[in-house]
Amino acid sequence: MFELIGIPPQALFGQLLLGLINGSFYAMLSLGLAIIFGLLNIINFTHGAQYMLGAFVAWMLLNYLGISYWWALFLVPVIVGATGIVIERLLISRLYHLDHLYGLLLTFGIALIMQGVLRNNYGISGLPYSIPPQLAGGQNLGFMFLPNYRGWVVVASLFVCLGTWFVIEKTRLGAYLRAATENPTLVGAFGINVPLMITLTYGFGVALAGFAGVLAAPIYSVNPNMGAELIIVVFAVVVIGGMGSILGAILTGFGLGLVEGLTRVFYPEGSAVVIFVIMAIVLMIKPAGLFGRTA
Amino acid sequence: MHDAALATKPVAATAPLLSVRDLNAWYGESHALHGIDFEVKPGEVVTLLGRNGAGKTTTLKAIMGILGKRTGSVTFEGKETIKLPARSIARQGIAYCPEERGIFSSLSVEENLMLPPQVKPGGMPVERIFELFPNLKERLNSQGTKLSGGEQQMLAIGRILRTGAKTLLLDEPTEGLAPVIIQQIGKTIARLKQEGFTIVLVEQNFRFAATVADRHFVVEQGKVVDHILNDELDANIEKLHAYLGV
Repeated sequence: MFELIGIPPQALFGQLLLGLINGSFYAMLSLGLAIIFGLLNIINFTHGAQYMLGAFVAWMLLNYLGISYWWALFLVPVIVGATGIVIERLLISRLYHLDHLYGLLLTFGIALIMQGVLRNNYGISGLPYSIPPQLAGGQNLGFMFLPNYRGWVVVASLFVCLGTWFVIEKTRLGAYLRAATENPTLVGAFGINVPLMITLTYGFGVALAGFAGVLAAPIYSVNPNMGAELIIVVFAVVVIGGMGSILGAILTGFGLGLVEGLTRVFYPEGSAVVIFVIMAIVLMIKPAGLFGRTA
Repeated sequence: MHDAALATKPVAATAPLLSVRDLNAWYGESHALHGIDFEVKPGEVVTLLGRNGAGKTTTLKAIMGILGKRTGSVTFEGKETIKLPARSIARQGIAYCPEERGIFSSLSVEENLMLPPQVKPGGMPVERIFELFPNLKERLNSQGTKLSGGEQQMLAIGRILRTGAKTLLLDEPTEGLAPVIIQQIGKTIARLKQEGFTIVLVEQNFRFAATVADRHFVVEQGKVVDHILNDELDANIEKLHAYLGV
């Protein structure tokens, strides 16, 4: 067995894989946050809870209705996205004329309510959700063992992130979105229904969180706090990447997942804080974030 | 009833296309327009002249419905639009080109050009827009805001010609541009007029305005205070100098 700078490759690649998995979730969640912030100017603090809701809805579909993981991958984003649309129409849309802070407080409050309700009904010990049989087992790659499901998570996340990037940067629909992010008044004066775009964009961002929740269900246990723990790191990722940059959110998400994994190999004590240390440094050197546009 | 409808028909043909009556508008708490009145007939080019801060830009924005609050009456093709949101006003066939041009920096020139949706049939084909503004064709893949000021203005006008709207609100299209570009924009406006476009132009530069417009409305402190036919401009030049403070 060979060694790299004194580290057994199994450990190194194992941690890199773990980093890539975490990075997949960082990327999907920070992407949704970046899209929502870009158009709505609201920092969606409900995002973690909506990710958690995605995992719970997948669990409910399986245990109450016998609907499989594969259907859940499709149905959960639709269901969670629809709840997002209701929240935007009934609550968030009333705050657009106020300071950002109110949107932040509102979405934070909604997150606490969602977590509280689910904690009350399902406890905090976590509900099991098993890996779909098609993705059980794993591959021995020689230098490491790759569980199939974890490989699938990375691929699915990459696919969804790049698909979203493509739609936003390369299509007509995306051009509307980018234009409305810059100057919603003028886009409205061209005859485009900007309020509807805002609602659908929020729904889409939330659907991404729901999708990430389904992917997460078999890896992390399904529990009401799963989003609250993750979202703090995701906010740091968004700050590092720069609010409002689509590709920036994706690259920073995967990149910081890897950095975290490497830290766990070389200096395990620092792995829990490395992202926040990077955030502090980036804020000092480039406050708009690595990929952020300065206004 | 039937006879009355018939009787009004010839009148309707010469009726104003755009009629603004007692238009008041606010920026937040600040009352900016205090009863603007003017009319534009089909195929006319009119300008709103006046000093900085007189309310010319605000009038265009208020017609377009992009200010917070407006009262009074703005009828387009006989239809009241004062209660409509901006997007519905645009869909009636009115297009707006803002003073700051509103080119989107995150969109390429081509995306900027193709952004405004068609609101009426018979929009100008892209090839014709390139005939009017050949520079745009060569720079389609550039970032929108990498264009020169003149090219940005051409893009801002070009993209609303695509939409099929035949009534254009142009806010200071010549501002800050070189004389040769101003000439090109003047020619474009003349050509659009020949093709039956109706244009409301906000201008500081009344020498330019005189080359393209049929009539001028003088705006002062949020009101239309005078109305001068372009043919009578020379006779009124002293008065106009006084209004504009030149």
